[in-house]
Amino acid sequence: MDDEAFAAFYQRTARPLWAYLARVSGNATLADDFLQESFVRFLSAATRPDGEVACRHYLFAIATNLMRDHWRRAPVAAIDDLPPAALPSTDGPDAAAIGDATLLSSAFARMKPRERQLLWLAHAEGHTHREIAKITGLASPSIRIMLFRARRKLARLLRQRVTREDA
Amino acid sequence: MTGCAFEKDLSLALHEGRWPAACDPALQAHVAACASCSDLALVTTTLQRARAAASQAPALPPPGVLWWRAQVRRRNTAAERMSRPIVFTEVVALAATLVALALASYRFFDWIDWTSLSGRFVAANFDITAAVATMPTWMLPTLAIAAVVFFAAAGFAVYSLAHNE
Repeated sequence: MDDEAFAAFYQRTARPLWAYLARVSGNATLADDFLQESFVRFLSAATRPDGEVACRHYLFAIATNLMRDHWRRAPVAAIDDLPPAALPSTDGPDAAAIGDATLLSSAFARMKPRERQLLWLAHAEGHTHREIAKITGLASPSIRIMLFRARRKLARLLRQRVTREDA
Repeated sequence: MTGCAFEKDLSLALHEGRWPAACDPALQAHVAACASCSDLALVTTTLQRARAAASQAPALPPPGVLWWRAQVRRRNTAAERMSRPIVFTEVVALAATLVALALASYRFFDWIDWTSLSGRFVAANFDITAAVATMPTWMLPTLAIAAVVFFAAAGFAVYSLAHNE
């Protein structure tokens, strides 16, 4: 990939990748750092997959690993064990920087990073279960169940917020 | 537990932007009645809106900066990989030098008649010049060479350690 091809690839992928990082991490500054590091690692890799789609998945996988490593450095070992309150919130001042301060921010703040990741990849990015498995390193069959639960949880949280605000 | 038969159609409609206006009324009626499909519609539309909003928010760094940073990193990685055998050779050479020096010192200390050497200092009332004058001609150059070798090896060891760090 030469610099012109990279510039074109960057224009197409940087903003969706930033949105993914910002929504899952809940931190716009962290998303900026992860975005840059993801692209640098992507370019520094000894071998890269062929094709735009494969490169895009590879880039999202790098970003996912960066976030996972970041959370692993925290005192609690597994990100799935972290209570939502211990994680960066999407409900704080970063919500404006991320792009909206809607119901989603407060609902996402009450979800685990893994749930946010799966929901974003499946419903915002439109990836298939197999693609999500490649990006996250999870087993494809378990994604279906995890995603179903996460979706039900998010829908419930969104409806609760709407009901509360209406009341 | 994991959705219903209409999920695929609904998912396709959501990702193609056809939901809800351009969809079959039967599908709309089903979604209104099905908990799983209404969850899917609510979550997908919310996340798609959030993606559109978030994608316009940041001012991203120019791609040239990242390209340059990646080039620097690749160069550094390549240089580090190339220098690895050199560092290894330096460590081996240093270890061999120290072993050789230890063996030579052991031999040399055995060979010198220390009693005679200290006896000369005592006999000369600890006057170094007088003691040296009484030494055999070979002893002073030998001691000088040993001192030079020792300090050179020590200097090399210190330099190698500092350089590697």
